[in-house]
Amino acid sequence: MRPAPRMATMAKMTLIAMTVIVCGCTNSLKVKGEFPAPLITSLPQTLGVIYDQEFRNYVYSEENEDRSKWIIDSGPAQVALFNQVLPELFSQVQELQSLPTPASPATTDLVLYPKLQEFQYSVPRETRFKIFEVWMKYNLSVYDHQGVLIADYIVTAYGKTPTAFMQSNEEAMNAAVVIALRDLGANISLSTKRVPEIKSWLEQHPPTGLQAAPETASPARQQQHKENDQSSSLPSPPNRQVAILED
Amino acid sequence: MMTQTQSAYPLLKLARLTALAALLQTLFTACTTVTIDEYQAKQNIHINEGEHVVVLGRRHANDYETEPDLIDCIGDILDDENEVIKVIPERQFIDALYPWFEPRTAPLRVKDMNRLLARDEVAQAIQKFNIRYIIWVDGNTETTSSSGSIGCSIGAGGAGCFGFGTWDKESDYEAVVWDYQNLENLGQISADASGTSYMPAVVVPIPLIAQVQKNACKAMGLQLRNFLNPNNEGGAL
Repeated sequence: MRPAPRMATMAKMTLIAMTVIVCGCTNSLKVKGEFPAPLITSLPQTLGVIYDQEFRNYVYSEENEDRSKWIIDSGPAQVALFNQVLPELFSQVQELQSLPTPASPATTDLVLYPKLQEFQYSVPRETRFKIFEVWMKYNLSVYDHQGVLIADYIVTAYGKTPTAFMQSNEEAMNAAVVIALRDLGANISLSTKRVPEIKSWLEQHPPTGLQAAPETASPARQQQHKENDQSSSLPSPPNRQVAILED
Repeated sequence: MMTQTQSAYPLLKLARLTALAALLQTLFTACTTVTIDEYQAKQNIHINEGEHVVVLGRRHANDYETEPDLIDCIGDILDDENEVIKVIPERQFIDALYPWFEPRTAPLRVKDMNRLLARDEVAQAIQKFNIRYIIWVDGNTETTSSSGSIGCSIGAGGAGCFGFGTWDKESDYEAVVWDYQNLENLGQISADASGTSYMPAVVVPIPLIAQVQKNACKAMGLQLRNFLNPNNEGGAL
């Protein structure tokens, strides 16, 4: 009667070992990160933004059998990034459920419809460099309040992070995705006004619809103004030759 | 007396364990060679009370990235053992100035700061930190070669390893110091470090690790401290 328990124990250990091996082949992560509010001058126009279900719940799953299995849930993180950046770029932002039409126009001046077109990554085992890399390609479509397409352009984002002692692959990949999203935020913050079609439209269309004073644009900006007021007693900025730049 | 002996015993045990850990760390640490090179473009560099320093990592290279933990390490050493140099954490600074100090947008030369400071909101944000010096650190630590092999096995009678492994690591960092108040380059400090780690294994693997990055950080941090505050005797190498 003694071999039976031993066999049961061995079966359990084999099962546990196989579970560990199977689970160990898959790297799964839900991207977590915090994104700062960009320090930029906001446009006086208002913006509606559409996050469809695919964008909101985006999960990248590696299908190539020659690569290690990765499941990366970046949907909520990219929505958080857009929600942090856009209110600083426009005077007011509201989420919309669908594209406006002439019959049912939006109450905002512009409407942004972002889509993630490509997500790529590389891990140290593939590149021989001790860095995790993430590259993303977004398609941004901008419409007027009646749903007429104004601009349709591509924005790319890149992030990398070095491997570190006592850091898991998931933590390193999470850091790379967060850096890529920060890069996306930087790109959107600084380049949106320079897109030729948007620049031309902004010049031809003064702001209408929902408008808000820049001071009331977002709590983060209010806080920033408050802190700047408090810091007025600090020493003056350095001597410098000021170069005037246009956005 | 009995009570005192009982309460003192755990402390004594802890002290012995700490001493043992320190001894093992000393014994099991392989050697590292560090070379420091300094170029000072201006004399009489000093920092006033209330002024701050920020240490930032360069992250625009394709095939490497300056490690965030190295930047933290240099900042800690600059901050330690003196009352003059106060360091702003890298993350706090670049978050407050987002997106102007990201890999894509960070100024590469001190003259590029004019471009940023033309924006009032950026100038005010930097002014809020009362920054005097910005230190950019570029470089990385990498394993240049490795050899040997260690095999481990597990069986009913126990587990054990046998073999010998060795690997070389090299650090190559350069720090450039900008004077933010006068917008000029004050100088550069480079730190090259190398070391070989060993891992003999006879039943139990015994790592003899050369702490190359840590030593490069320590040497560069002390040199930078001496560079910014030459009067501080504790900062000399």
